[in-house]
Amino acid sequence: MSTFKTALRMALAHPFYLLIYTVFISLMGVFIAASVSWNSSQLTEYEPYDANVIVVDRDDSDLSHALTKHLGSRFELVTGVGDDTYDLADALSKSNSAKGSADCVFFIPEGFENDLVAAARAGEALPKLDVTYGAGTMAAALSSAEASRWISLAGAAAALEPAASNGSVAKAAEHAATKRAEVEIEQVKVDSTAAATLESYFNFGAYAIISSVIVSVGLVFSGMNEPERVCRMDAGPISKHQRSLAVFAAAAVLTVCIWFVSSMMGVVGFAGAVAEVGVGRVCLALAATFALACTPLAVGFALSSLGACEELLNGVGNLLGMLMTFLGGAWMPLSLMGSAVQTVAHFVPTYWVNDAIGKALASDLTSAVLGDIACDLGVTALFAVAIAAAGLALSRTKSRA
Amino acid sequence: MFNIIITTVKTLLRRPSTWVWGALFPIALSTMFMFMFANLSSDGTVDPVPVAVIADEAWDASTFKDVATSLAKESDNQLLEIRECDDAADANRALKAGEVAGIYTVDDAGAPKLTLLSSYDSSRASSVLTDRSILETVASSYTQNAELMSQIAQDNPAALADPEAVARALSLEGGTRRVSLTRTTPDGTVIYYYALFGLVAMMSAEFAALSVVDLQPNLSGLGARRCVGGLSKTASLAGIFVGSWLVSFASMVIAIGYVRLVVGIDFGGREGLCLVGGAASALAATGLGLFVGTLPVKGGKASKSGILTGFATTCALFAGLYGEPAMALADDVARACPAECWLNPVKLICDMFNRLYFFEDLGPFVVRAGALVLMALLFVAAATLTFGRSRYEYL
Repeated sequence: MSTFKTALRMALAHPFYLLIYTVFISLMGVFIAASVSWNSSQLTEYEPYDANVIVVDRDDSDLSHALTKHLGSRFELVTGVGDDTYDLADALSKSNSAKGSADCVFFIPEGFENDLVAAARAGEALPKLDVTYGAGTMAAALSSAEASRWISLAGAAAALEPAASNGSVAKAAEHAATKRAEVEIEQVKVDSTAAATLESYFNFGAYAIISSVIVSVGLVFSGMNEPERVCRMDAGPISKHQRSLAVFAAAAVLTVCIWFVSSMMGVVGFAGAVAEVGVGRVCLALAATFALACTPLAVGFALSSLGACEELLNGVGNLLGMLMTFLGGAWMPLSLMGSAVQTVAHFVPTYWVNDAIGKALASDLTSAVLGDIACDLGVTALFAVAIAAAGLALSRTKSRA
Repeated sequence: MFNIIITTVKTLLRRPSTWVWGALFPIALSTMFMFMFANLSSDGTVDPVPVAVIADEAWDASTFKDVATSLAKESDNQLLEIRECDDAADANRALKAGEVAGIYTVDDAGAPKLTLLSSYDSSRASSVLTDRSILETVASSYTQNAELMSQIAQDNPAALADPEAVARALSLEGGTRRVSLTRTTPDGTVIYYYALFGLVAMMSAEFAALSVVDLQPNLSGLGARRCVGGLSKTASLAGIFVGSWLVSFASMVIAIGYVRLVVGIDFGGREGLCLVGGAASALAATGLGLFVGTLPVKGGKASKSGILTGFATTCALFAGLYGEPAMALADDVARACPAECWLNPVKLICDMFNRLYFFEDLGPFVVRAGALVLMALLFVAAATLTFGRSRYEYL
């Protein structure tokens, strides 16, 4: 028991690791999952994409005002940025310190109204509007298509009514542009937003569990394997076998505690989502994250068998946490990545765990699905067993040497 | 002092954590990003939106077919990619499988109708919604022309007397011409690499912090031996600062070099200035490390390392490093509190590289690099004061 307590005290002597890797990173997961839930939605009726558009009106005419008004009715018109090239470029680069954030900037040149009306009535090509695209190319292309359509309508109105004033042309284009095509929405069954939120949290929460368990458990194993400490313990009455069991028990307790704290932060943070999805499904997802926690436990053991020091454990824990959650699809869905990454992802436990979590939270829990989940968890546990076996072999080789 | 610099560099290079944070970490994370953004990197060209059309008699007879087909012609401005389907079932299958963004059908009167799915993959919300909106804008061209005609027919029927003039008027095409305000094509993915540079720099703050621990007699044996030496605290601190900065800068060079040469991110011929930015970032990180290293915190190396890791990862969250949702969160926070862009060193470094990449004018880059140097000076001043006043009565 004293060995067990000593091992636990060793981990508790480094509260910052536990605080940062378990609490802080889990908190980050809560933030990230919360923002994911805001983005998840379903169409009940069509609404245009809310592109952010800046219009620099250097013409100040009826036509330019009407065009600006139309773009404002379709998109989010960003104002207050001004005409300064630096400010506009800053807004396009979407830097957070910019006066606004835009997908594109339209420049309505001086004399635009007169040129457009004159060209339309002469049957010549209509003047083009200068536009600068930002990082969101497709949003800018959409805004450009809308502006082009409006100019075409204004040109047609001016050509068909040669005697009409510029104001009348603007009104005709404005009126016609409000007429939109019929859009039908084909209803399909979707996954619950609550499930997506929880899935996102558990996927990212794996980062907290992996890094925290590797560092904390690694510290315990490394500390208990220090030659001087081993010599002192060898002189004591407790057998080597009992000591190993006590250290392993302490490492297991630490792992369970870290898993529990990280999981509970998600469950409490998204209590509404848990209620919506159902406690049973969430428990199944938690079982998957618990299976995952066994892998960093094995990694921590293997690293300490290699003689990893505290600094190395800290670095490797953080790095493996990032890499494994990335390959599990927590940072970006794997479907958006190349086939090479998708293939490699099969060789990390987070892939299987995330698959199990997705099925547990969103699928109909038929016997086939439950079988798949069990299979995922089995593969995850095998990763832990394989790594622990390697660690055990290393440890044995080292002790013989 | 030169000896201290050399010793600090040697000591740091012998630490495994230096290699993990300084070399392995930037390479692993950059490689991760390389794969992550392989399919997302934008070169500024418009990707045609895939749309299914039900190729029946109404479609063939409709003028909308000409509009859609002209927008699907292969060119730099190609907006649509038309997939002709024999029947509605085939088109619906393609829509539900995500192969097309929508379905165009044309009624007997020739008016187009757009069909969309009610749900979409939330992780690709902006791309899906933009594609759908483009399809709706294109479909609306027919109804808008029809509306304009009916309006003119009411107000001035004589204007529509000449069918040729009407056809000519409706064939007038408005358009846009792309101009650039920035020196490079904006690409939404490069900002993640700049945020990564920020995190790499801040992680390297640990080098200075651990070196300072090795100077404190109450925290390390080496510190105790150094304490009885004749060198002043300020000179020792200065030596550690320079030595740690060199290693931190080397780590930035590895990150910048790898991103430029292996990942293939183009710095627009400003590689030299990137290294200057890297040097300023390393300076701020080393200053921070020095400051945290001198803080009287219980727990020695582990506590200081933990504080710096927590600080760096939190700052990285608010710089948007951890994927799209984190970037959206960082944007919201920065807009609500603009001062955060100057106080969060990871964000400041990210912004500095962002401006170097986008703007012809070097002013914004210089201002941010200057802010990092100022940050470093403040940290060094605070560290010198804290360390100078520390006394060790009970060693």
